[in-house]
Amino acid sequence: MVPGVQIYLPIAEMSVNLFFLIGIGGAIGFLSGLFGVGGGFLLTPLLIFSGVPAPVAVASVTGQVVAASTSGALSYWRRGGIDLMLAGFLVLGGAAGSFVGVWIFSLLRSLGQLDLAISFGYLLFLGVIGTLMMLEAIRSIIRSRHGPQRPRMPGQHTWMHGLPLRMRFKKSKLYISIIPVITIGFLIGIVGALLGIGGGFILVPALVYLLRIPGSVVVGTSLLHVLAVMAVTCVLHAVQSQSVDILLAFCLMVGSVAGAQFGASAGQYLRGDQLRALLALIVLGVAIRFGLSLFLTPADPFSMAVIGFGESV
Amino acid sequence: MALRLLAILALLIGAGQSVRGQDMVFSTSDRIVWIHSNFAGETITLFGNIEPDIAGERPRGSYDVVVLIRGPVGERVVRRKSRQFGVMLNADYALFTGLPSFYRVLSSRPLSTILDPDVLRERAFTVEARVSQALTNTTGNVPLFEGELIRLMQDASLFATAQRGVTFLSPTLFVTRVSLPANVPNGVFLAHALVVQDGQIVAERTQRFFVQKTGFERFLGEASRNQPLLYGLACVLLALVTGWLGGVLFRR
Repeated sequence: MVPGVQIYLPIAEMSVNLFFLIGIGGAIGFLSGLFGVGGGFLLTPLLIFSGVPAPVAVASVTGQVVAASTSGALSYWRRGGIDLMLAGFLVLGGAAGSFVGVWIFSLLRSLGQLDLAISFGYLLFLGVIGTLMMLEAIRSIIRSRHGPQRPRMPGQHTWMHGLPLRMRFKKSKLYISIIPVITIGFLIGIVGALLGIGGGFILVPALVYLLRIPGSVVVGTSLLHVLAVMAVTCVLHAVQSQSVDILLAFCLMVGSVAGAQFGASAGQYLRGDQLRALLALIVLGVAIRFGLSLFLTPADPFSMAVIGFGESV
Repeated sequence: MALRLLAILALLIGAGQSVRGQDMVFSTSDRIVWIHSNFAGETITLFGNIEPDIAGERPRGSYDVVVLIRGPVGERVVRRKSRQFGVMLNADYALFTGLPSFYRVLSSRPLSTILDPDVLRERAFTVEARVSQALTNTTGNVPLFEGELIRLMQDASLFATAQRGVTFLSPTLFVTRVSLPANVPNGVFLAHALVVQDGQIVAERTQRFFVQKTGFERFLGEASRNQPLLYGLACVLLALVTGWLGGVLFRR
């Protein structure tokens, strides 16, 4: 353990080293600045592995994700890199999904299978996304060896665009149905509330590959969506499970906001496809870590939990 | 701290002269253990003096003392993972209600050598007895889960037994120290002292003390329960301001 100041977390009711908290916040912030993702998918498992109760970790990380997305979203906003109308529909779906996610979260907790669901969820989502990202990155690294290639054309339509309720998204230069937009927001909202992740690393590829949102607005819009949905999730967790630890969240925020700046400048020295391959490796690593906990016989098969917040067995 | 201990000692020795019923005086060094922002556990000291009985007879022979410290009670569940469909799932469980969230059994000598087995069974204050009283519902093997709960609570420094944890400073004056870990539960604690002679309990005294958050930590804990909506909104606002400030400070 790092020497230094202990800080008492009033909701987790435990004492944690302050520098450890700011340190992991900073490390995650560095990675999120480097890759342009929220980092919740790394932070929540890290907190759980270091002894913070899973409900407190998941709920408090939502606050951190809001802070981490704010500075990014603001700078994209100044550059005009946000499609407000698209973000609006995404958030609409996301907020609804977050309600459902928080509800499933408390249901699983009362069944005593929350740990299992979190492990399964991480294994499934991170495994699939990590594999896809890895394949894509390898392909683009190979392609870049064979000289410049033709970029994918935005604006090409898929069957999803033909669904009813079409609307014109001026910033994205698209005329598409809002059904897939809301559905994507909804699904990511559920996953985000359940696993304590912003979902930016799922949302960006979904917007690019499924909806053909142009690259100029995709990151900014996704950041705004993550910000808004995580803000809603944070409030819902505070009301429903009362497990948001504001002090824990604040320490993580401070570390990650600072770390993100250094990550962003470090990111300028790496190529895009290399960055994506690196991120894919990290995502797959976390997935494997959760997979092991599911399939290997644990050193201690017994676990203990305090019953509270209207739970039963 | 040292001054406070001295004051208590003076009080105890003074009180030893006055004949006030039977038994003993018993007190703690801290009536309230405050949890500050840098709380990392605390050790409290408990003192007692065995006194003359009603007839004013001086205490005779040798005594032993047992001190029990009990934190607020609550519900806990112990679960066991086992392999089902190839993955490790939480399967069997045992539910314990009315279980102390913190429990210490301190004695001047091993319980079995100082107390009559019948008395020990009747009073049921050992860690094992408290746990089996608390067991209310289980789907598995009872002794197994009881043993595992004790182990997990001991690992978390919440349960402990110290068979020589009470020291006599004089034939009648005893002292014991209890370390409260950083994860100590908040609430009302009961310290119970038993004076034992010839295998029987000859005197008892109970003393309460509190473990509670103070200042900002207390405010946050209460706000999260009483005003959850405002609390959540405050957290989001804090996040927005921190993120914005970070962007402003580090903008190149």
